[in-house]
Amino acid sequence: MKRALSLFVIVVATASCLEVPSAGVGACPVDVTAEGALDVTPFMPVSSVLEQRCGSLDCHGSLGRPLRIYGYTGLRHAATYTVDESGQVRLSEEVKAYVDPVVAEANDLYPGGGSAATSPAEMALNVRSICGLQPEVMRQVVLDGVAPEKLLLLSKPLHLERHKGWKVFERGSLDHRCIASWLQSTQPSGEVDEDACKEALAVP
Amino acid sequence: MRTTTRTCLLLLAASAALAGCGDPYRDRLIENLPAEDPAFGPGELHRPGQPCVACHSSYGGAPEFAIGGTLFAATKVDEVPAMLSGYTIRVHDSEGSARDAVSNACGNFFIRSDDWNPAFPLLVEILAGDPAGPSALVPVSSMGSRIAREGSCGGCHVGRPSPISPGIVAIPGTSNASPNASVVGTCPTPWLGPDPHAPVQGAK
Repeated sequence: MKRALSLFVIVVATASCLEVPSAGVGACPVDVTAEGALDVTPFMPVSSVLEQRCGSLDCHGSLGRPLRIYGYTGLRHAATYTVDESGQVRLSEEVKAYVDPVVAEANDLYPGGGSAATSPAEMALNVRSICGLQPEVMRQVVLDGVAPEKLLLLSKPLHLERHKGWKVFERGSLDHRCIASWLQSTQPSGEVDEDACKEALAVP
Repeated sequence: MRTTTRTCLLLLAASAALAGCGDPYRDRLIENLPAEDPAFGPGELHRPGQPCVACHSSYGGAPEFAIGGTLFAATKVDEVPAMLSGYTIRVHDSEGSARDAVSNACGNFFIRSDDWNPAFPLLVEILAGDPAGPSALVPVSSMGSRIAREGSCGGCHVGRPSPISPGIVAIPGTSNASPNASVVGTCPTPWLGPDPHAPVQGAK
């Protein structure tokens, strides 16, 4: 009887160790190709930092980049606009909610960067781009607690390896802490360092 | 005879290797730009709106620019914008250095690489003469995002605002009737992007 109980305990313990978190758990969805909405709330302050530091149109705010960053001062997603019969680019109805009402009322033509805040849909695309870049390493970082600097997302801007955009921020800087905290937010007691993200944005 | 054949073969191999050193992206960028306006020819007034550093670089062969671009009047979508002269473009680099360039009669401005080798990323602001004191400058516009690596303003500022571009560099509150706007016929026709009515890249 005692032996059977021991076996039962071992089986249960083993089963819980093998449990695979469902899509959408933690900083990155385990399956970045999974359909469905993504809760971008914890990512919002991190997205702002990535948009400012990495997402300019001449860097990762480009459709040609494996790491593609959408943002309000850079690349916008197709869902932010429509093209009418005359070829004019106009804001989509969905995005008008994020536009300065004065700008929207004055002219519904696409106002360009800086006028409409980054939408949750664009942030979700940023998450999918980041998490899909190195899915195996990302899984190790998010689920197994491997150092986040192992990811290109940090090793490149820290210039730990070759980066055409050179060094974007220093190790231990506010930007580094902001992004790393998001990646480690799935770990016990982990949480996004929102203060670091906000303070990082104060530096132009 | 044998030596001649070997020399020829070596020369052929060297030529083939050198031919393969081109940059297809830059080659295509340069090939797709409109031809020089014969009425003006190469010079400081030529090719307004085009991405200057495509040619004004070690690759392109023209005198190297660190930064170059064109200022336009803010017009309606169906108007060809005039170019604006006399504005000061102040560029700040990431090491605290700054340089000014002033837009010429056809809106063009540039800073030669010999004069300044800025540390990217850069921030840019545009200033105008203060009506109250002509020697003073007042800010009229500034870029919301950083320039990470692109020396050509026209590399990102192309055509009308769209999801992949903030549009040409237009000064708010100006028009083709502004006192420092170029007069038709005194400058080459500006380049406003590949085709304003072509489907926008990334559009669904």
